[in-house]
Order: sequence, then C-alpha cells, then structure tokens
Amino acid sequence: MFLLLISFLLSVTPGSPENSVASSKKTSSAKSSKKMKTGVLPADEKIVVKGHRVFIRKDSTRDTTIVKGEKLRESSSASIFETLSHESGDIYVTSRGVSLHGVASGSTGGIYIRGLGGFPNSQILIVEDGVPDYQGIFGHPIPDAYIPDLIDKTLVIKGGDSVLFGTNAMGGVVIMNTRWRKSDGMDIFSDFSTGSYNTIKNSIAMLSRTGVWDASAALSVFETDGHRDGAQGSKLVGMLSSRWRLGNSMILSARSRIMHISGADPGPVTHPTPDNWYDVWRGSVSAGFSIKKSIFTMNLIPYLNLGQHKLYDGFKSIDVVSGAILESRFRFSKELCLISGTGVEIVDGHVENRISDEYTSIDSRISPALYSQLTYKPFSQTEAVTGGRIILDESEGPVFLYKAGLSQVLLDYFRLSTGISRNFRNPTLRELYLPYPVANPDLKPEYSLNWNATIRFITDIFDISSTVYRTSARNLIKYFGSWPTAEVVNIDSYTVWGVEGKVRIKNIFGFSPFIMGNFQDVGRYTKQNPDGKVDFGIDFTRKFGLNSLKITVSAQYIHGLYMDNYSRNPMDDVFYIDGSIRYRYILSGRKISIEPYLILRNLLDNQYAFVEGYTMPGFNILAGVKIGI
Amino acid sequence: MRLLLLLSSFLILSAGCEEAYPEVVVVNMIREDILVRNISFNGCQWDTVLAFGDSTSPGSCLKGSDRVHFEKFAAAAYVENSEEDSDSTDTEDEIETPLWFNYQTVTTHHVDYGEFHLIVLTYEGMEQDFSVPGPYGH
Repeated sequence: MFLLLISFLLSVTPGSPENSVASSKKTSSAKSSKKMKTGVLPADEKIVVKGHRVFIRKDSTRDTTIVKGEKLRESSSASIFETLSHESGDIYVTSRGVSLHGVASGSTGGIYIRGLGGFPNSQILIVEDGVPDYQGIFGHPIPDAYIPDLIDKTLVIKGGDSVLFGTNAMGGVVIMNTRWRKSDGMDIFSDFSTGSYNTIKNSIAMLSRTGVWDASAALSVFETDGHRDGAQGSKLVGMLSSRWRLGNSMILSARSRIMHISGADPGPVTHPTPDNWYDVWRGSVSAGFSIKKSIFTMNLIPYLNLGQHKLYDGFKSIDVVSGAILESRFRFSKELCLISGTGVEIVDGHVENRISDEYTSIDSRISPALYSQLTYKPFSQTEAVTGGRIILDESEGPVFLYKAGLSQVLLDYFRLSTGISRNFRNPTLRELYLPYPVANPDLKPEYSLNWNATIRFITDIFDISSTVYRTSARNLIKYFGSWPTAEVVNIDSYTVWGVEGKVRIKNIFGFSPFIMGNFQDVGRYTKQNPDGKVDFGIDFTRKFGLNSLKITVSAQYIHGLYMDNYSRNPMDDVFYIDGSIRYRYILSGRKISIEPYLILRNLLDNQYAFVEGYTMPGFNILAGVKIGI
Repeated sequence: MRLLLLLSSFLILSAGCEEAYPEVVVVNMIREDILVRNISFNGCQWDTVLAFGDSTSPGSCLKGSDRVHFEKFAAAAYVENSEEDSDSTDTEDEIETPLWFNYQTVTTHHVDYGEFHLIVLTYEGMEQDFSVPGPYGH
C-alpha cells in the first residue's frame, strides 16, 4: 500500500512522459510511413540505436506478428499475452479473471500457436533481450511477470525457431526487447488505474539517456479482490536495465527483475477452492556484451533466472535456469550474412513438501548447443535463409535441428514467403521426476516440423495477409487419465493443418478496422486447441492539435473449444467485446502529458469461459490516468 | 463539477458491478440427523456446517446457472454403524472416521443480477455429485 501511495502521489504530480517522446515518435513514425510507401518491407521490424543495429528479427522469411509496445500499454486486455491473442488469429491464450493468470493448478495464460503450446505451456518460448525466460522445473513462462512500460516491441515467430532459440521454441517464440530512450533526456511515466472488484493497477517507469549511459526502470503493482471467491491476488514486479555505449562499436548492458505474485486457484465455480493459494518469488539477472567491428558483430549474454514457488498443500520448489549465449554475425556483403553461435543452459531445482517433509530427487540438465544461420539475397527483393543447430541432449545424444526459408517481394506491394523448421523441446523436470499427477523418467524430447506459406499485401492503407500452415510433431508429451491412475507418455505423431488471415485497413478518416481469423484441424488432440478463432474490431483516432482521442472496440470469438482430447467435453463458444477510450492532453509549452482513460471489458456482459468452470467476469471497468513528465 | 460528476458516475458504475451480484442463501431442510458443509454455488462457497434448519449467510455469487454442491454427513447412520462395530468386537471402542459424501441438488438454479434466492436443500431434491475435480494439480 505504501508503494501504491508513493506511485499515486507521483502520478498526480504535474509532469509529462510519453510525449516528450511524442516529438521524436512523431518524427520516427513519419519516417516509417515514408519508408512504407517505397515497399513492403516493414520499417518497424528492427530497432536502431546510435551507430549500432540491434535486430529483433533475424530471419525475415519466418511468419511473424509484431506488436508495438504502445499497443501493449494501451490495450484493454488484462495481460500482455492476452493482448498478443488479439493481434493474430492463430494465437490463443487462456484466461480466468481480471488479470492474474497465476501458477500451478488452475493457472491460465498458456499461449497456443497453430496447435502447439498451452498445456504443457512449455512449447512456446519467451525470450527477453535474447534470454530465454521460463520456470526451471515446470518449463513454462510466468505470464504475470512482464511490464509493458519497458517493452519496446514484441515479435511473435509463429511456427517456432529452435535453430536460433533452442529448446521450447516448438510452436512459437515470443521475443520482447527492452525499451530505451532514443535521445538524451529523461521520461517518467506514471499510470494509475482502479475499477471493478477493488482492482488497483499502478506502475511507474523511467527512461533515461545521458551521454553514453541509458537506463530503464519500472515498478508495477497490482491488487484485486477478483470477481469471485479465490480470484483475488496481487503482484509486484520491479525491473531495472542499464546500458553503456562505448562509441559506435561496443555496448555493455545489464538487466535485472524481481517479482512477487500471490493469489489462489479459485477452482471451478461449481466447486470453488479459494484456499488453494500460491506464493511466488522470482528474480533474474542478465548481462550483455556487444561488439561491432566492420562486418563482424558479436554478442555475449550470460543469464541467471531463479525462483521459489510455494503452494497451499506444502509444495515448495526452488528452480534455477542459467546459461550463456555467444553469438557472432558476419555480414560479408549486402547479399550474404552468417550468424553463428553457441550456448549452454543448465536447469536445476529442489522440490519438497513442507507438510509431509518429503523430498523429491531431481537430476539437473545441461544442454550445450552449436548453431548457425546463413542469409543470402541473390536479388534485392529475394531472400533465402537456411540454418542448423546441434544440441547435445543427455538422453538422445546429438540432436540435429534445421530450417529453411525463402521470401520474395513482388511489385513492391506483395510479399511471398515460405519456410520450414524442425524444432525441439526437452521434457521438463516435472514431467520426468515429479508426481503431479505422475512422472516418467523415460520420456523422450518432443520434435516438431512446421511449414507455412504466406502471402502479404501492404500499402499505406491496406495490410492483408494469408497463411497456410502445417504443424506436425512427434513424441509429444501428453497426460492421460486422472489421478491416481494417470500416465504421462510420448505420443506418436500429431498433425495440424490450418489457414490464418488478416485484413487491416489503416486510418480512413481516423478509422482503422481490422479482422483476423484462424481455422485449423487439430485431429484428436482437441484439448484447449480451438478449431477457429476470429478477432475483429475498429480503432478510431482523432487529433486535436497536440492532443488526441483514441477509441478502440475489439471482439474475440472462439469456436470448437474442448476440455479434453478426442472432441470430448465441448465448451460453449467464447464471445466478448472490449472497449477503451483515451484522451491524451498535452499541456502547451510544457513537456507534460495527461491521459485519462476508461477500459470497458465484456461490454455485452456475456457469460463465457476459456477453461471449464472458470467463468470470466461479467461487464467490468477500469479507469485511470497516465501522466508523463 | 463535471469532473466530480464523471468521477461519481464511474465509482457508482464500478461498485455496481459487485453490488448487483445475485445474493443466494442455502437452507438445510434435508433431515434432522443430516449435517451439510462445504456448500458452494456458482462461484461462492460457505465455510460453515449447517444443522437441520440452519441457513448460510447471503453470498454474492456470479450470475448464471448451477446446482448447489455440498458435503453431507448422516449422523444417525454414523451412530448406527459405530454401535454395530462396537457390538461385534470386544476390544476397546474405536472411533470411526465420519464420512462426508459429495452431493448436489437435482435442480439447476438460475440467478441473475439484483436477485435474491433462497435455495432449500431437501431429501428428495439431492443426488450424489460425481463432478468433483480430482485432487492433483501443480
């Protein structure tokens, strides 16, 4: 509460944030729109720092979705992952309440991309500034851990890319890059909101750039009583990043994050379990050393991620994920670029039951790997990419992964691309050793072979794309049966065919309507793997001098949702509409912006649920003000 | 003034979401020797044991449809079983663990915003509940 009070006081102090960046943003957006006119290669797919390019996207033949940080910050969705699910038809994310996804039984926030992911939520890899981010024992990310204020943009690689990112990048990779200030000065943002169910959301962030030093810091606090018994929870996330730029050729950086979340599994509405609490502490540190000399760029990233999870039933775990990545890039010419790297990752943990005083033995896992990717542009509009990775797996021995892709720009407005990749996931320590509900130390790694072909049409007004994809996997790890006779085994093979599309019309008299959809045939493995999903809505923006009004209405419809495989236990279709309205007011002559906003969720007050028995809240609202200095 | 109006409208709207939740009270009228506990209905749970004729406090539940789920303990059957067991053995009396069985109402009740519902549990109106989730997790 003390932190809340301080942040609130700071939030009501006159000042201005995002819009001291507003002028620079305006310039960069003008530049980017100018660039867009010249062709279809989106200018926003890379970020630029002074004299040194940092690429968020290393393979332009992969099918991706980019979500800008501003979109994440302004979204009416309750979490970053839910925002991502509104940005592409083939990304499906579960939810259970007004914000916290939680951990352990009853948790949500699982990302499904083209038939993979979700449960176990370890087939989609989250990468923050080049560092894989997941819980060591259970292998899943913590969906509540991310602060939109410090995210520059998010890139979702659909279909995965284990060649560049290693284990867990089976069905997709979500890459987040830290937001830095682009010119000297300092911005402070404060965002305070409150609403239904005694929900309080507050964050304060700072971006600073002084000479060769950059710093980004944020503190985010969230509390809610939830829409029903057991849905209450709180989280506190603090993050600090700093960067030292030595001329145009060298960057040293460091990033740290600490978070605490606590809440409960409310259980199905028919049989609530409000006392099933969890308490999670996690911390991570990473460093970056980047050097660029002529055609050569090298990055070294050591990292450490550890956490403590406690549950109501006496469960306590401490997990550690540590490793290092050394990657070099040789740009021999405009046509030829080679990325080579090596990495090693160590995953370890400790599990005990504090009530029964039982201890479960866990063997740590070490995975060294070598990888390489070659990009060749025989013509200015053509790009071919191929790559491979060798992982020395403890159970399988050497594992070879590969990928290939081709993209071609036609008539300046069309882009065709296709790609195939063989991806990989190690069984988690939980699946191997922990009886929740059952373990199997003989499990083999999972493999996927994903293919897609995409056609995209981009002009100043239209952004239209369509993708046909095939996801095939073998050795998938699945749980069958129920306690105490459950089993976890590798299953033979799994194939998904699907088609995904998007139409977005940009800024016609301030209106930007969009619709995107995905339809897939997932065969027998229908558990939380919906047949179809459609997202649609409209953005409206109107400028009044320096001030601006933004209204967004978005809807999501999900069809063919089952709670079990083999099309058993079907659920009602999901449909809901969210809306938001924001007015950004710039105090003239002063670098201060004040942005009151109102977020309206589930406008039609529909009853729906992503997970059986976990009914989502009815109509609820959140009102706040964002102040920037 | 306009700001105050806007703020108060927001607060009313915000608070309204929770205040308008349907209120539900459950009464145990099953039988004089039957106790019920762990009573739940559409998102709310009462941590209480109800003797015959007792009622829960009003609970704010989600709108929608559900049956009332509860655990039932038949005191007469327990005493009867205990006496039979103690007759059959000459050793010192052992206290038998009371068994609470999962039950639910036969009827599904629908509740909506602003409504007040008094749900009465009766002997004829209950059945065994096999929908209880399994005990595993993590």
